[in-house]
Amino acid sequence: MTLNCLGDMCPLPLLKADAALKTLPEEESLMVVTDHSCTVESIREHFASRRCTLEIHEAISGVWEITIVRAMPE
Amino acid sequence: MHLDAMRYFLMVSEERSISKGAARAHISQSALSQTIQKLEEDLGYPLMVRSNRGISLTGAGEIVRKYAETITRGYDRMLEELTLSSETQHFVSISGTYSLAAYSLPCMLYKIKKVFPKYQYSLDAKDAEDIIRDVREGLTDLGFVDVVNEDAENLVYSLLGKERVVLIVKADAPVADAIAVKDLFDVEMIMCTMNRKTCDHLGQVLNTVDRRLENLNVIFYADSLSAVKSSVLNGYGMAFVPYESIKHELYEKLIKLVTVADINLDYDIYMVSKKPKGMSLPARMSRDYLLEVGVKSFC
Repeated sequence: MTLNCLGDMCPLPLLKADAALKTLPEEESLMVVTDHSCTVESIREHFASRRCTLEIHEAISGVWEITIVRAMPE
Repeated sequence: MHLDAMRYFLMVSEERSISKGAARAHISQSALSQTIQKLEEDLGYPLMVRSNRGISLTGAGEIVRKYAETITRGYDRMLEELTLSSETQHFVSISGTYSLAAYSLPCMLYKIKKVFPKYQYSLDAKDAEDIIRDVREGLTDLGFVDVVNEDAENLVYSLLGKERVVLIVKADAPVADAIAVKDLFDVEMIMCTMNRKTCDHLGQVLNTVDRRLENLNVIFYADSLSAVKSSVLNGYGMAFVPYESIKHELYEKLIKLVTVADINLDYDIYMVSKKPKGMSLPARMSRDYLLEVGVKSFC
């Protein structure tokens, strides 16, 4: 699932990502697209302690695609 | 002399009409006329000329308008700070030019708030000259501008980095990805009046190759970046804009960038403030942090 947060200011993308992950099936990943550098930091910080892995790709200068994958339960 | 008289005077001078000024001030025309008349008597000068074509300011009226703006703005700012001081003693006001405030500074505010959570920040957008004036008058703590006013005594300008300026066109427009300077004169352009720095800089660059800004085929001038972007998206022409303002459209492939050989319109961004010893502690701490992180704190 892709969450387009272009133009959204912090902390809106983080709130949207949190809400989206709650309804997303466990096996699916979530890609957040943002043009705000603070979103990259806040998402990295927020999900670091939530059993998630993050892949951050700067698609064009100043626009990031952040893929959030949740760890499967053991 | 009552502050309201100055506010009414400003409204009438902006509207160029007693009746419109009265409507804006929510008072009767006769009450407004009396207030203005009293202001003229108190100051000892006629401030307005009334004619069938409306109101115009006298020379004295122009002087009063200039100072009335500063006085009323200063008073409003005082009330704002008093209100905030009852909640917090840590208020920092920040102003940026229109494009910086809209596209680059919001992330900086978010980040600095995390570093100084007890400080209260405000951000507003103004012309560079107004920002410098407000910093000088103590109405703004930190300003982000693209010019250095050499006349401004007691102010400190710190170079933070550069704002990238790009030429954009609708993605499917039949325009090459790279063009020469002379090709700029064969395309239709949209200029942003808000972005005067870019216009000035482009004019200087064109002068170096014996070309003139006035000879560009500018189909219209728009006063906001949103209007410029919307025009380009509708295929009406090309425009020079700050890169930060078009990332969204570029990522969505709605527009494309066109490079122009030998033209670089990137401009410097400065943070302007009073000298550190004349600043409040929150403003000084915030300034020091921003000097350390620079444009990395921008969006």
